[in-house]
Amino acid sequence: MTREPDLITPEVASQLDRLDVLARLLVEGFLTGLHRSPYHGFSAEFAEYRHYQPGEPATDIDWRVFARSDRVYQRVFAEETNLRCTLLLDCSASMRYTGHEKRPSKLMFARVLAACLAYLLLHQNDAVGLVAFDEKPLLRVPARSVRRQLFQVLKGLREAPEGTGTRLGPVLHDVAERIPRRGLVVLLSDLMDDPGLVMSGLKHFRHRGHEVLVMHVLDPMEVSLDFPGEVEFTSLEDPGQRLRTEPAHVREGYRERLEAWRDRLRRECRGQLIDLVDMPTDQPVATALGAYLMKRKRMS
Amino acid sequence: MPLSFLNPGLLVGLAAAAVPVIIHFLSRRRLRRVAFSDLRFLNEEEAQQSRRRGVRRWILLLLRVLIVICLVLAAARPHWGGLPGGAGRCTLFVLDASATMQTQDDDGRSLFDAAVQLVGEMITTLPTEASVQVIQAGPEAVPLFATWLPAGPAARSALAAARPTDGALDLAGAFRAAIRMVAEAPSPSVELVLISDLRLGDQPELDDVLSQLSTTGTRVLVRRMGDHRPEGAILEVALPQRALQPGETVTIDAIVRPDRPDQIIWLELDGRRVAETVAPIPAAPGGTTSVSFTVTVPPPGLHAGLVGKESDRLPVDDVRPFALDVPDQLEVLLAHGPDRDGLGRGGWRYLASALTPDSQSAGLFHVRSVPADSLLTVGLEGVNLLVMVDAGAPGRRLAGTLRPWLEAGGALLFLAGDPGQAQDLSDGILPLLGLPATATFVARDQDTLEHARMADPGHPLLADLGDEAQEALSAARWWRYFAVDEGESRVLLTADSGAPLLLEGRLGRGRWMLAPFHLRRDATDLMLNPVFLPLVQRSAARLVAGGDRARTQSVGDAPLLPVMAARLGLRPGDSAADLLVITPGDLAARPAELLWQPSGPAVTAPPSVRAGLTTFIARGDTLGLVATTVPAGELEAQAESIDDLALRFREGGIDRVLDLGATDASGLARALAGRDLARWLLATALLLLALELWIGRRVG
Repeated sequence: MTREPDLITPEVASQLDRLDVLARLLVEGFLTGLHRSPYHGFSAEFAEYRHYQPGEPATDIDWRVFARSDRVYQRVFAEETNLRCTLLLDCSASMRYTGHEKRPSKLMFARVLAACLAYLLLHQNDAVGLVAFDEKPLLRVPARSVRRQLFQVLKGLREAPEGTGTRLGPVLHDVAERIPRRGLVVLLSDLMDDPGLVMSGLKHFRHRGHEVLVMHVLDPMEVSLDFPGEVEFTSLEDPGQRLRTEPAHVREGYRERLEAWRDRLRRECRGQLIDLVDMPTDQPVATALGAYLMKRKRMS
Repeated sequence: MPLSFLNPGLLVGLAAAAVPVIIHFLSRRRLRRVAFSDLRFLNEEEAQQSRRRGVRRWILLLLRVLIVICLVLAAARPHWGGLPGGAGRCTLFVLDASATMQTQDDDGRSLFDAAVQLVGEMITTLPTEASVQVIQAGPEAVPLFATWLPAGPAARSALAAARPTDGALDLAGAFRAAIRMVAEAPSPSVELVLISDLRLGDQPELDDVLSQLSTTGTRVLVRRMGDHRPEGAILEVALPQRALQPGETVTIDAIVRPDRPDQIIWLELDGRRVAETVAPIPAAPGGTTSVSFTVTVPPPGLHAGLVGKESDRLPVDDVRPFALDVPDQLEVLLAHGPDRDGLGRGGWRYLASALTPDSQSAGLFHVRSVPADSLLTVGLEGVNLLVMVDAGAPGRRLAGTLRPWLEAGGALLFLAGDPGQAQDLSDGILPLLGLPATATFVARDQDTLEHARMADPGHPLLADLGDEAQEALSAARWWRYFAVDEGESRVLLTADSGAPLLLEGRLGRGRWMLAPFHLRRDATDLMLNPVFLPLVQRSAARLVAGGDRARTQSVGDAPLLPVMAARLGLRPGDSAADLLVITPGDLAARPAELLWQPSGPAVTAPPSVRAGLTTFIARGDTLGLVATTVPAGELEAQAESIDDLALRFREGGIDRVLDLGATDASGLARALAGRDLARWLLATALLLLALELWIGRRVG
């Protein structure tokens, strides 16, 4: 059985010191598979006008110019951009969970995912920043679009410490206040916190004019709870909290509750025009990159 | 206990029921520890489910244990009922071969044939390792197989030898044979299957046999055949109980149970219908009634007769044979004391004259008179009637001859009126006849004389005389007689004082009459009475009855016919090779057996199982006829209920009685093998498994 070329395995993810290479391989492998290059027309920065040629999409026609001059011009955007994207990486203890030894932890998965996004963004000359947090911000890399920025971001991803608890609401509020210009905010988290607080934080970003993309990282085992026999669960965020049960007996109810929680998050994100992408750790990064590109396209 | 297992060794597998329990607790001990991201949802769900899940978990454990138990029990092949030991079972069929088993169904098939077919089908359904034996139970119990046979073609083909009988079922005898068969059985556990219409009758010895049978541990299964409905029958034929004279008109009575009103009953003699009559309607439905035929006595000789009616579902009881012996002349030996006063001692000549009134023509009786003291010399062979008049007490030797002769069917008329013989009477004659040994001489004068009174006017002897004759007889006078105690005898005439004047009794098969007076004129004037002659004639004829050459007996009894040794030229100890017997149902004559009894020789043959006439032949001549009839008790027996029979069996110690009802062969096989519970257990296991999966899925 052949492995997906962009599937993140623990072996791959463990090469954090080579995140740049890893990100380049994953992203360019992903981009090669697209039919149309994403490099063109996604920039938010206007470059010039040119005459509209029949057959071209009407989305880029500048209707105000047409109203003034009765001429149909099409806007052309420069590939260089000053889009500011801030990657928010959840490093809380719950992100350390992996349900299978051959799968990366959620945190590893999120790191690689963030690296890929950073590579892609910088490849399009966008500015990329990074904030790692648990109950509070742990590490910040201000957003820049310089070539060296990729190194800074990757370094930050490598060095971001593994945190303890999760308090997403206050952290998001804090970060939202600290991002000076509006741009794109990508949150990579398992969102293991009170949904109301999470949405409160996300709304803050929206309030400040940011576009928000949430990569909801979950391990498949967290979804299925497919543990055999009797299990004593210990909370990663609170090691003193234990629960002894037979997952088979609580599986159905657990799944219902989990799904209800995810449905609530999805529904409320949709209400705030926030894209929420489920990212199980057994999925290829292409899912996340594709979601990002769709978001980027809508923003443009 | 009715629960048994074909593979009891597999029951050790029940220990496997502990496996789910062990797994249950081991799985609880094999605890995995998992560091999980967040316990919020788990905590909430666990709080809600923990109690319900605990109950379900124990239910699941119970179901798993039950599934294992069911599977193990199924593998052990449990049977409810039947015998432990499975293929080693022995099945002993007791097949009712009595007359009523010949009752036919609407298709003309008898219950017996149906029973034989049922046994054959039953043997077919038994495992080939099983052993079978069949006892054909009629008047005698006959094992059909020489030894226990494997349940297979050999046993089924041997069933062809089964034949019904016209006799009654001797269930006690059948169970005695069954006990012997059980002792010879290859397996200690035997099941006895009684296949019968359960018209059992009294069966007086059954209780004792049941207690013996109970010690063998045999289980009894009862399969009832047919539904008993009262059928018409000829139950009894009553011939005149006296010697018949050719040409006289006699009445032959029969007791019948008609099938319907106005049913014609006929009488045949020597194959010719000589009389018929319409049966009166019985007092109660299904009851019996009496019919009478007026018949002219045929010429001297042996005559085969039957009373019959229209055939119904049970043909064997629709005709009833009888044999009629019309004697040519009966031999009367008259023993008397020495003559005195020209009247003979005791007036024996009056008697001789009354028996042979017309000396010119041959009458019914041929009288030889001998002095009493020469009686031993003359002997009693060929004598039909012995008349003793004031003969004194028989000596020891004579008594030793007289008693067996009388018991074997002889006839004795004893008159004693000589006052000097009081001692002889009380010491010799009365004890010989079974009467109390008291005799008191009574003497009356002219003023106190006594007359005869009819003590038993309904007695055939007196009833035949008619009213006028009885009135004439009451005019006879008595001055002297012996007053004796009647004991168990039947008194026909008494004096005015109530003392018996004419007594009748039986000794074995013989009959006797005692007149405690003699025929001297100073004792009585009876011999001058016009009734005297017919009274003597009828008394002699009654004592002689039908002679020795015609007998009637029931199916199953060995026919026995006394013969005259002199006529056959036999001497004691001889065996007669030229004595033959033809039994009912046999076309060929077989050798008969000669028995030497104290009373003289007699021929006999094995008991017949068919109704009809048994004919004894010697040198081409018919010695005698024995009418073999279906026992009336067999025809009158009501079908017992299974419950009553089971109760009787239980009282006899056999508590394992199973009613097979009207089950067919496969049902019988199921009852023998027991109900196979394996498939039920497998089905239960599957059901429990489905339930376990369903609950298990709901649990998790």
